[in-house]
Amino acid sequence: MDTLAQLLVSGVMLGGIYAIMSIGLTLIFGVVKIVNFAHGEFLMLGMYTAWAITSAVGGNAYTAVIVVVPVLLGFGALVYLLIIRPAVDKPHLVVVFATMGLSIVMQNLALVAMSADLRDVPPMFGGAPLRIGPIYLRAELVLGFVISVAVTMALMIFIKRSYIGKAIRATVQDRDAAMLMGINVPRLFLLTFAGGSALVGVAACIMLPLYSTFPTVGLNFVLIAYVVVVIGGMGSMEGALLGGICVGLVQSLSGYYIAPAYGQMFYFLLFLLVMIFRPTGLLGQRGTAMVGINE
Amino acid sequence: MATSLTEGPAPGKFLTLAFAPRRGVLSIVELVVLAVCVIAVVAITNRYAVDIMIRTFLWAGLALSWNIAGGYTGLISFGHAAFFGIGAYTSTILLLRYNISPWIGMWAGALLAGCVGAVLTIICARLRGPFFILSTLAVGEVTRLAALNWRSLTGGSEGLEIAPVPSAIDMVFKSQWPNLLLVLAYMLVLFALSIWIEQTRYGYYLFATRDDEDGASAIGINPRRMRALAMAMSAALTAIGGTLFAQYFLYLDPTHIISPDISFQFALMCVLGGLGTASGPVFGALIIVPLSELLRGSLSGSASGLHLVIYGTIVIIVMLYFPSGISGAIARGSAWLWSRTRSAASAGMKNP
Repeated sequence: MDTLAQLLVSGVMLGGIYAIMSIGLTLIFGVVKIVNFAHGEFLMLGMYTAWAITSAVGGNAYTAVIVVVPVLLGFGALVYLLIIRPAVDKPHLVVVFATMGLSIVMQNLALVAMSADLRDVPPMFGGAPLRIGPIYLRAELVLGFVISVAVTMALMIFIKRSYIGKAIRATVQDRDAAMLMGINVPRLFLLTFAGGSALVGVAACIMLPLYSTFPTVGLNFVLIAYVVVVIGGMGSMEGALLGGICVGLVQSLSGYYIAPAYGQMFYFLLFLLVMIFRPTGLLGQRGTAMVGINE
Repeated sequence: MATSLTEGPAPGKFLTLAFAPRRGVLSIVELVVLAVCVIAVVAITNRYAVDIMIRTFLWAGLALSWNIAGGYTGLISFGHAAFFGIGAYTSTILLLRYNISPWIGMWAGALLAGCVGAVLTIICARLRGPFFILSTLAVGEVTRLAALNWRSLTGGSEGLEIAPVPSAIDMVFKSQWPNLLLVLAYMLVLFALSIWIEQTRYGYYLFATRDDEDGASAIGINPRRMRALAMAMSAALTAIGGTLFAQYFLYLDPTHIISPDISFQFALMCVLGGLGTASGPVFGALIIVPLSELLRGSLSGSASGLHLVIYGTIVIIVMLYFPSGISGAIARGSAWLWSRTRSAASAGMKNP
């Protein structure tokens, strides 16, 4: 019983981390209707930036967020202007392959600049696990979960209440109508892409204490992020949270009860099942999967 | 994308120049390139150069296989490494366990991969665009993890080794020549098949399915069947390439054979060369493979990965500014030259 409780709680915690990692992807998908295939490399950039700050200036991964988020915001805006904007009205293949090219460039620049060594930060809080009843958890995991749920909630409220949030929702529903209503859609795209990238920065700071950083770290996590957004429904914030927790639970339960190596396989199978039987995801926009997106 | 009421069905949904590739000067360029390949096979004896040629022709054949699904039918797959792996593993396991010759085993691999491809396409029939792409990526990953964990069959991460004992029946050769001829034949057969697809009505069925599904079904084409057929063919041909790969390198492991990177390579070669054309994948492979081998050789140590930075940058630039790739550029250039010479000729006739 204790084992089950332990697995459930750590699965949910892990899911929170996966959610914050995926939320930028789903936001960008919902508004700009593109899948950024360099999303994982944005995460890698964020983790390296956070690592560089903690080892050069000091402080910890969580204080590094002050620098990492603006860096990713600026980088996202730059990428949008140079690569995404020229491609946004073209067939979706252009964006797919252009962002894939970007991912190759970023991965290998990281390899050239930082070598393939694993970078870690020293454990915080003395490395001792947190004990809640019979459950032991890493303090960094709990903190990461709390931050990511808080950020996700704040984002949902922002989208619900603020003017920009309303503009975003209007654009998600009908881009042309939103434009007719006087929403500056191109600027909203820029804002969303940069904002989505900044959220990856938050995720990077949360993940730095939990995982090693290396040039291809993004590929591991971006595959999880795709699974999360597809299960939750592309374009849905609540879906990202739900999808993240699903994947976290699948990973921790199957990892213990079946075999750790099969954990990954199970969430890819879950992904395929969702794609086949409910392609819009659990909370997604209806119809997106059937028509493709950039039509 | 804003839909306009005045134009008919949205044109240019896909990246190719026209739905039916125009031949002409492009064919001359193709023939010259292929002839150079054949002459190179006879003329070059340097071991290293022959090795690069084997890799290049094999990759060209694999990219051509990918192109049948991705280029002609619009089924962009980032999971073709799965078919590649199925081909390589099926023939190798049959050889190592049951002593069945790879000459037979490769057809078994092709059949298996073809079935997997068809089933995948049928169950993902409703998915379009990035959703389809992500599903193929997941299929690739599931296959990789299966190969990694099914240790009794695949040897897991330690991989499988084919004994380097030369034997024509086991498709293991002492010199590189038979391998070179095999991959050259593989590439040429696939090239011929691609031309054939472009010229026959089956090709037009595929183009119609890709460009306007509703229109295609309105004129009596069954888009689902065309898609499954194209994917099955593409997967089976990729699997044969997998067997050739296994028999040349004599070693297989899931992390290198079934990685997403392999699938991305298939796609990117086609994109650089020109998606949905017979010559595009060949041009892509002829440029990318030797270039990256040479750059890897000359930059090794000091800047490993630098050649991929250049490669990625080229991909971005081509995608944004020359989306029809090298073949598109050649076709467009020749059309321009043609119109220039024609207008010059007619001007010459007017002024005696």
